[in-house]
Amino acid sequence: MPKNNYHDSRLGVLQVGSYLLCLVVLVKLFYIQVIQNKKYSVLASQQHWDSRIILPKRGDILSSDGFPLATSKPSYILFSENQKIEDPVQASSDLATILYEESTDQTLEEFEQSLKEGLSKDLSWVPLQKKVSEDTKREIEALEIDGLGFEEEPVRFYPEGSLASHVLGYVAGSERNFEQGYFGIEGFFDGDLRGKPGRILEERGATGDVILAGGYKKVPSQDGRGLVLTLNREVEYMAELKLKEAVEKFEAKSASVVIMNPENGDIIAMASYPTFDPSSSDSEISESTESQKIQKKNVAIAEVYEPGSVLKPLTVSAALDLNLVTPDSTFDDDGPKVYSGHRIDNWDGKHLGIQTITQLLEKSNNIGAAYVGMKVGTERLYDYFRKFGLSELSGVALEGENTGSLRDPSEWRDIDLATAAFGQGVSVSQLQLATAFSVFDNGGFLVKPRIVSEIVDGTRSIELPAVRKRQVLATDTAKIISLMLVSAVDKGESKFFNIKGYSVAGKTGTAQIPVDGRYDPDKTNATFAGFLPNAPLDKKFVMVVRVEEPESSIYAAETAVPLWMNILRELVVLYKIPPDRL
Amino acid sequence: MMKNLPKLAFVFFLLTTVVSIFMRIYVSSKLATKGGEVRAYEEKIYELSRENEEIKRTLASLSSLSAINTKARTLGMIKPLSSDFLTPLPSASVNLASSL
Repeated sequence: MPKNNYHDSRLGVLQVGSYLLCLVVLVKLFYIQVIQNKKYSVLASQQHWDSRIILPKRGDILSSDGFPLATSKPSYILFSENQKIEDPVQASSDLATILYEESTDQTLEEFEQSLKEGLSKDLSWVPLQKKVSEDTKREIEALEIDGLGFEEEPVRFYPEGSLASHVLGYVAGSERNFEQGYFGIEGFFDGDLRGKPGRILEERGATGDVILAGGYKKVPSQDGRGLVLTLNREVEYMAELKLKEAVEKFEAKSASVVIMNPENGDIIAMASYPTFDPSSSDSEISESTESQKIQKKNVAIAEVYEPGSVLKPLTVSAALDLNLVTPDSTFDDDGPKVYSGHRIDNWDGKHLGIQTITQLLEKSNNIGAAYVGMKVGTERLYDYFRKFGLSELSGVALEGENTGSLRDPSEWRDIDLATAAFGQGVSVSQLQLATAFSVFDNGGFLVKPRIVSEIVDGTRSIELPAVRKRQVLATDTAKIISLMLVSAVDKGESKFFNIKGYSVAGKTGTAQIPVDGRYDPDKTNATFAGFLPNAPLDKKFVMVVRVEEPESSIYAAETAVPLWMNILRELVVLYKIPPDRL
Repeated sequence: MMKNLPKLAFVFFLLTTVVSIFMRIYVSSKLATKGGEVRAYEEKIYELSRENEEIKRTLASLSSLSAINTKARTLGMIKPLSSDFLTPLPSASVNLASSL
């Protein structure tokens, strides 16, 4: 019996032990499956489900004739799964032979060494080279090295090279390593262009291989929307060549042009020189130097400057619109005038006695402009300048636009009114000048500049309508000032460069650049703004050119005007605009 | 009859199991084959669309204005410097003045 008791007690211990063991297992299971449910669910799905991102194609940017100015092409990130690489030394040597051409800042030995270091890291995924081309990928695949792989990474491709680069902006990697658009169209429409990434989920077994009849989920990517611009490719190309010639000929710092349809605000061309290659590696924003960033700035919208006499037609048109003067009204240009203790004079120091308002524009007379400004008065001149779109964003769909400045009229003294009347103490962008001059050529309306005419989303396209913001001048006033501007070109400083057979309405502006609080007489911004008032309605354009700090001559009549006329000479052929004069 | 019922039930169960196993194998192999075909078609579509894109890019590069300009120069072409118009032309001053 004692033996049986001993036996029973041993069985009892075993039974209790089993119960305890079961309890421990149950508690552990409860802990894992209930309390730690979320954590282990995530870990399990990470192990079971392989997730891959499908990158969307960035939307194309097309010119008005449907030609791709910016599109995308595939490139690849070469990566290695180091545990599968059998011979890192041989692999790095083979890869260096193929990839070295694409790496420029290292010697072959240094490059090979960096690859070897990458292949020897104790990591499961190591990126070895970015932006590998399709051909290079094929060469590497032919090596049949186990453990190497490619991940697709589309890059921007510009079939026209640097054409319209300031309008397009550029694409570079952002902090999160996704491509992002900066400046211009790429920056402004980044949300539309970039699209939405998709995802592929595949169920994998314990060995990491895809389960044949396992789970598979695919969320397709959504490609970015395409944009159709109003830019005329031929005009843009021609204008850029002319700007380059002008910068070299006039030894200028830069030159820029805006050509715009005054009826609907469509931007036909917008260009600056020097230009930049948007596909070059220095497009990486973090690596750009200050001078490279300046070079990438769209001068026509981002840089504001004192325009000088090119603003006189705005002052005169305000006075005409208010019936304060007529083209034949006179003023006495009898010498320099003093306003608020400051002396103002004509640009050449000459004084011509009794002059008409039309002659004011022909001779670009500062005394006359100040006289007209005084007649209009501070409040009204300020209101007209605002109505012309000064000191406000034009609304063009480009990133980086600057408003310019127009001080509050309560701060204006007489000298401020007088100088504003001939374009000093006011800053504008070239695009603002183009929209202001459009008012003269379209019957008095301020239009909103339009650079994108259509957004293409798959098979659907959304047209962006042209917008007329407001009426600035009476239609008759617009016609009168156009006639006066034709006279200003025919009889003004620019007459030596005029093209035969065409009536050109326009005005020059030579504005000294303020340096350290005073105007530097040797540094100027030379501007010419004008249009063909008799061009057929469907071929109308307003063009504003600016030459920054020309050294061959500081005057607009000898720099901006010849550039403007050179572009016009080709425009009338491209647009088939017939002459209106014998 | 009643006596053989468990035996029959067992045989029925066994047969059902065997048929189910074969069905499962058949469906899986069919799915795998069809899946392979679908994947092949998808890859074909992908390849063709890539080729299409590549051709479009080549076309764009070859028809870019700088490429055409270079080609035109090598062929000795020059830009037209003016156009001849045969229709009667309006006069700037008359047009503007008469509409005021």
